[in-house]
Amino acid sequence: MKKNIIIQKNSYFDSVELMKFSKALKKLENINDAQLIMGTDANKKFLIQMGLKDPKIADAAPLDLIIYMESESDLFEEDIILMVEEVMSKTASTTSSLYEPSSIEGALKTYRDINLALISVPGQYAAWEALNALRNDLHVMIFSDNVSLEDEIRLKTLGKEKDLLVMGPDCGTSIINNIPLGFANRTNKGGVGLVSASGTGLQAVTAMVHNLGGGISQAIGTGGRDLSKEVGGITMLMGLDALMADESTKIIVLISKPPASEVADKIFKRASEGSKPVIIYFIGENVESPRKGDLYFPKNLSHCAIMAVAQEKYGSIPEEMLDYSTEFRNTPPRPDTGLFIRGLYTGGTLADEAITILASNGVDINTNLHHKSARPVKDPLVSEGHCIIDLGDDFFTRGKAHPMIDPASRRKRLQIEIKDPHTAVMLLDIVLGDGAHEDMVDALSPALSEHSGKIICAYVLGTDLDIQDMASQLTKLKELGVFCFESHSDMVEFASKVVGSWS
Amino acid sequence: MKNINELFVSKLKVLNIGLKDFNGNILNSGGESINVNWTPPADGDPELLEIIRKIKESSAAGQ
Repeated sequence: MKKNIIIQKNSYFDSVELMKFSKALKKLENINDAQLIMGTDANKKFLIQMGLKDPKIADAAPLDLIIYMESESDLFEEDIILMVEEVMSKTASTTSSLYEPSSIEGALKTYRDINLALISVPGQYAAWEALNALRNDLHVMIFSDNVSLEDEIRLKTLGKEKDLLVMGPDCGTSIINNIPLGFANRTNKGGVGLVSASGTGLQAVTAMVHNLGGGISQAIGTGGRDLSKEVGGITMLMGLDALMADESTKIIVLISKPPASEVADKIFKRASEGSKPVIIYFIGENVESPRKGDLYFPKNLSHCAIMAVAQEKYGSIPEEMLDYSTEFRNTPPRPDTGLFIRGLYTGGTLADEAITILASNGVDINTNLHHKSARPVKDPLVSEGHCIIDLGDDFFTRGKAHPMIDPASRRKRLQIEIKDPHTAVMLLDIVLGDGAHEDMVDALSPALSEHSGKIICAYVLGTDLDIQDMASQLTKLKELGVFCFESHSDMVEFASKVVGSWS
Repeated sequence: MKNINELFVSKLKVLNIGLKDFNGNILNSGGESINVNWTPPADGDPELLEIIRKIKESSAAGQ
C-alpha cells in the first residue's frame, strides 16, 4: 500500500467541498483512502495523529491544500493531481455568475440590491465578516459556530441599532421570503411566522406546518445563545416585533430551550402586548396552562405546528386542540430481544424532546446531553440502559462533518446498537432538506437491513418539496421494516408504549 | 418602514460567504445569491488578522 502527500500552494476550498472531493476520490479504482484538507494547525495535527510523518505536512500553510492519498500501487504525483482536478471539476458546487467578487465591498459595487449576507466561514473569521456586512447595511445569518459570546453581543447590539437582523452565530436554519437558508426544508408560503433558537426545532415545525397544509411567512433562526442572560434575546425580540408588524404573518411561533428567567419575562411581556396570537414552546419546561389570553403553550413540536395551522387556516385555535395526546389503535409490537430504547439522533433539539417525553412517561434515560431529567453517560461511545445520544454534539463532530451531512459515524454506531442484545427499540431522526445528505435512508440501509427482532423507529423530518423526495425515503424505510413517523413526539410516545407493555 | 419589515417585502438577494453548497441551494430553490470567492483574510495567519482587526477597529472608531 502506498501513501502519498502532495501540497498545493494557495488553493483554498471550503470544508464541505473538500468532503465531497474526498468522497469521490475514495470511490476511484486503486484508491484505498483519500483526504483533502486545508493546512490549518488543527488539520496538520490530525494527519500527524494518523501516523503520517511527511515533513511537507508541517510546512503547509492555512491556505495550502493537503492531498493525502493511499493507493494499492505506486502513483506519480502528476497522476494524483490530474485525478484530483478531474474530481473537482465534476463535483464542485455550481455558482450563478462568471464573476465572483472576493469581498463584501466588491460585491456591493456590482450588485447594489444585495440585502442579506449568509456567513459560513470558519468560526474565527465569522465575526469579522458579519461586522463588515452589518456596516454595509446587510442583514446577516451566521451559520458558523465557534464565535465568542462577546462578539455575538457586539454584533447583535449593532444589528439592533441599525434594525438589521443578526441570525446566529450557530444559526443552522432560516427561511426568509420563502427561500431556505442553511439547513432548511422547502415549504409553501403562508401565514405562520417563527423565531427559533433551535435549528431542528424550527425545521420540525416548518415542515409539519407545510405537511398539514399551512405555510410559512418567515422563519427566523436566532442561534442557540440568543435567549441567554448575556445576549438578552435581542434577535428573538426583534424578530417578534417584525413579525407582529408583518402583514403576511397571522400567527407567531417562538421556540427555544428554557431561557434565562429575565429574558423569558421580556418575551412573555412583548408577546402579550402584540396584536397577534403567539405560540411559545420552551422545550422541556413544565406547562401550567395551555393558554393565557392570546399566548399558547403547546406540549411538543408537533403540537406547535397543529396549533399554528389551525390559527392560520380557521382564525382560531379550538378548545380541543389545547391538549395533545397520541392514540395508538393497535397493541404495541414486542421485540424478540432486548429491554431498552436506544436513540441515535442528528438533531439536538429532537434528542432533547425525546428525553423530555420519555422521562415524563417514567422511563429512566441516560444521555450525552445536559438534561435535567436524564443521567449523563460515562462514555458517549457506549450506550447504557435506555439511552438517547445526540451525534451532532461537539464530542462527535470535532474535526468531522455533521452526521446530517455524513452518515458514516451513525451507520457504524447503529450497527453496534442493533447487534447489542440489550437493545429493544431504536429511535432515529431522518432529517431531509437543503444541506442534508442526499439519501440518508440508503446510507443507513446496510445497518437497517440487519435489524431482525428489534423495533426500529424513524421520524422523517421533511416535505414533498425537499430535494430528497420524502415519499421515496418513507417507502424505502417501510420496505426495510422500519416504523415511520412524521411527528417526532408520536414516535417517542410509541417507543414508550412498546417498553411500557412489558415493564 | 423599518429595515427588517422592508426585507420581508423585498426580493431577497443573498451574498454567500463560505460554504459554496449554500449558494447552490438558494439558486436551486429559486432565490438569488452571489457567491464570494472567499479565502481566509491575512493568509489565514491569526496573529496578522488580529493586527488588521485592531487597525480597522481604530479607524472605524475615528470616523
